[in-house]
Amino acid sequence: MLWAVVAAVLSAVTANVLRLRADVSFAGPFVAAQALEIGAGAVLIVVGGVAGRGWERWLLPAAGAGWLIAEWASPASPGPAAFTLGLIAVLAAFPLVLASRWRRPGLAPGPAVLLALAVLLALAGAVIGGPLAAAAAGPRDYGCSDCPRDLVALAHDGTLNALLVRLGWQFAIAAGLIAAAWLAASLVRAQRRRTLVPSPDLAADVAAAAFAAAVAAGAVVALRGEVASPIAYGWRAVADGMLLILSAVVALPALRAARARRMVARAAVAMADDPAGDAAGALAAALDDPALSVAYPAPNGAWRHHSGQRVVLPERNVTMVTDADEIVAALIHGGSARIDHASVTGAVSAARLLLDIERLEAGALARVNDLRAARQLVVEAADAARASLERDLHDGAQQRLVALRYALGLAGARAIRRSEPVLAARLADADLAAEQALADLRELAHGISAATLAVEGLAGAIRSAAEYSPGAVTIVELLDERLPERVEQAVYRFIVDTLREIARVPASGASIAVQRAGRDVIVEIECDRPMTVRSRPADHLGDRVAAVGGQLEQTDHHGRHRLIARLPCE
Amino acid sequence: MRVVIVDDQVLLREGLARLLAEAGMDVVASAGDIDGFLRAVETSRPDVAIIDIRLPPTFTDEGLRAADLLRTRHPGTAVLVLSQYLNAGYAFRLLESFPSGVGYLLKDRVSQVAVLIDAVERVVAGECVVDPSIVTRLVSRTQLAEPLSVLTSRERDVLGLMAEGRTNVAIGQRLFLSEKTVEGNVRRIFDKLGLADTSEDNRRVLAVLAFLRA
Repeated sequence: MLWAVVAAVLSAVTANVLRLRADVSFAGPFVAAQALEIGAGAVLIVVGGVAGRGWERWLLPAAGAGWLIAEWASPASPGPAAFTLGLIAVLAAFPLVLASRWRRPGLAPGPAVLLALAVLLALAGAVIGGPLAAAAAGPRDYGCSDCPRDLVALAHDGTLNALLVRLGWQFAIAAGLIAAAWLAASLVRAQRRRTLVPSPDLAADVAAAAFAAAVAAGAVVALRGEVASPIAYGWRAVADGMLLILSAVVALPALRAARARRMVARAAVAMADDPAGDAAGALAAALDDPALSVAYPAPNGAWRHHSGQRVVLPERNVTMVTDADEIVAALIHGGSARIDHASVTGAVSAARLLLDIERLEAGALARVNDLRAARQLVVEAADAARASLERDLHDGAQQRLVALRYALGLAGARAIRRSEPVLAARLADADLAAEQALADLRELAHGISAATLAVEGLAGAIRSAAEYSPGAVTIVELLDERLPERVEQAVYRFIVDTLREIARVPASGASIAVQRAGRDVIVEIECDRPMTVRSRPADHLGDRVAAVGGQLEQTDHHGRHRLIARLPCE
Repeated sequence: MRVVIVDDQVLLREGLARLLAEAGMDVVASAGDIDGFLRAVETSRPDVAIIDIRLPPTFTDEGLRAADLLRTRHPGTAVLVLSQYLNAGYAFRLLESFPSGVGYLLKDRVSQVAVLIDAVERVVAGECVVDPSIVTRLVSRTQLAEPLSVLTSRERDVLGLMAEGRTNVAIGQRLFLSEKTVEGNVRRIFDKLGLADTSEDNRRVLAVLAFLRA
C-alpha cells in the first residue's frame, strides 16, 4: 500500500513534468514512450517493495524512484527541491538495478567480481554525473534561464559541470560493458558446468544486464551530443522494457507463492467436508507435486506420517517447516519435481495451523496404531492357542478315546463269542460311557478352531458351524470367494462367537448374511431375541472385529436385533 | 474281504485292524499317509479302503483326496472315510464325486463290530453310507421344521434312513415294513417335498441330503 502511494505520487509528478516539457525529457515527445517510462518506474517501485526479497525490497523501489526522479531535472519541475533531486538522481537507477542482482543465489566468484566492478563503475558514474556535476554548476549557469535553482550548486563553473557529466556517462558506458561481461561470464560458466537452466534468477540477470547495456548505449549517444534524438529515446525505451521484465521476474515467485497460499487455504476449508483430506494432499495440489508427503517429528528422532505410520526421511528433497526453532513438519518432495521455494514458502505459511494440528494428530494416531497392533497380536495369539488346543485334543484325548472304544468293542465282541453275557453287558456300558465322553469332547473341540475354514473357505465353514449350532440358524447369503486368511478367520470367529452368545438365550434363532461391499466384507447377524452386546463377551466380539480394522455396530429396531460387522478386505 | 487302512495314528490303525480281524476281515495292508496308502493299494488290491480324513501334511481333508485318487485309479474299490468330526459338506463332496460304494462315518461309529461289518459290506456292495448323526443334525434344524411338517412321522423315519444311504429293502427291515410299503412311502415323500424322483438308490441319497442342507 505504502509502495503504491509512493509510486502514484512520483508517477503523477513525473507525468506532469513530461507533459509540460517533453522536449527536454529522456523519454522524448511520444506519449507512448512517456507512459512506458512512468509505468516501468512505478511498477518497479511497487513490485520491488512488495515482492522483493532481502535487499531487493529497498534497491528496486529506489531504482524505480530514481528512474522517475531523473526526469525532474526539467524547467517544468515543481520547484527547486524537486529540480535538484532530479539533477542528483540522473543516473541513480543504474547502480541500484545492478546491485539488486548481488543477492542472486548461486552467484559464482568470477562473475561476482565482474558484477561488483560494474556496480562500482555505475555508482561512480551516478555520483560524478549526478551530485558532483550538480555541485559544480546548475543549469542556470550554462544557459537554462527558465530552470529552477540548483540547491546544491557550490560553484558556477559550467565547463567543470560539462566535464563531470561526460565523465559520468563514460563511467556508465564502462559499467555497461562490464555488466555485459558479467552476464557472459556467468552464462559461459553455467554452460560449462551444465547448470544452465532457464530460471527466474537467470531471467533477472539477463534483464539487469540488458538494462545496463541500454543505459550505456544511451550514454554513448549522449556523448555524441545527441541527447534529444530518436536514438537516445529508443535506448531509453529499451531500458524501460528491461525494467518491466525485471519487475515481472521478481513478481513471479510472489505470485506463485500467493497462488499456493490461496490453494492451501481453500483446501483447508474444504477439509471440513472431506474427512480424507489432509495437509499433504493440500500441499501436493498447491505445489503441483503429487508425490509430496508430509512427515511429523516423533520421539527419538523418528518421523511419522499423519496416519501415525513411521517414515524415514530421505537425504534430499526435504523442506523443514520450523516455528521458533522447533521443527513442526518436514515436506518430502517428489524426486522429479523442481522445488520452487517461493511456492513452498507460500503454501507452508497457509498450512501452518493445519500442520500443527496434524502433528498432534499423528502422535495420537501413532498411539492408536500401536494399540491396534497390540490388539491384533493378542487376537492372533489367542487364535494360535485355540488351534494348538484343538490339535492337542484331536491328536490326544479324542484319539485315545476312539482307541478305547475300539478296544471295548473288540472285547465286547469276544465276550459275546465266548457266551459271556454279563461281561458283554458291562463292556457295553463302559463303551456307552466312552461314547458319551467322546461326544462331549467333540462338542468342546468343535468351535475351538476352524479346521474346515482353511479348506472350505468361509461359506463351507459357516454352513458347518450353523449345522452344529444348537439354536436355529438361517443362512441368508454367503460369500463363495476366498478372502485373505486373517479376514476369513475374523469373520468366522465373529460368527461362531456370536452364535454361541445367541445360544445362551433360550429359544432364540438367528440369521446370517455375509456380503461384499466394495473393499469391505459386511457380516450381518440378526437375532429374534435381544443380544447383550454390552456384556464382556460382546466386547470380545468388538475386539475381534476391530483387530482387523473393522467396525461393529448394533441396532435394535422393531424387535429385530442386529449386529453388523464391517471388515476391510485388504 | 481284503481291507487297507490309512490313519497316521498307529494306536488307531492297530485297534481298527484288530476289530476288522474280529469281524472276519483280512487287513492286507495299512499306511500312515497318502503315498504309503497308494503303494499299499497297488500291491495288495483291496476290496475296500478305510481312510482317516485327517492325514499329513496339512491334516485337513487329505483323506478325501486319497479317496479321489483311489477311485480314479481303481474305480471298483469301495471307500469308507472316517472322521473325528463330521461335516455335511464333506459327505456331500464325497457322494458327488462318487455316488456309489462310498461311506462317511464318525470314527468311533465302527467300534461296534456289527456296525463295522454292516458299513463295510454296504460300501463293497456299492451302496452309500452316511453317518446317522449327520442326518439327525440336519433334520433337527429349526428351519426344516416347516417343510418337514408335511410328512407323517413314518415318512420322516423313511426320509432319515434314505439320507443314511439305506436301500428300500434295508429300510423295510429296519421299520418292519414290506418293500412295497417302503416304495409307497418314498414316492409320497418325493411328491410332498417336490423332489425329482430318482429310482437309483445312490442318486436319491444326494437329492435328499441336498434338500436337508438347503
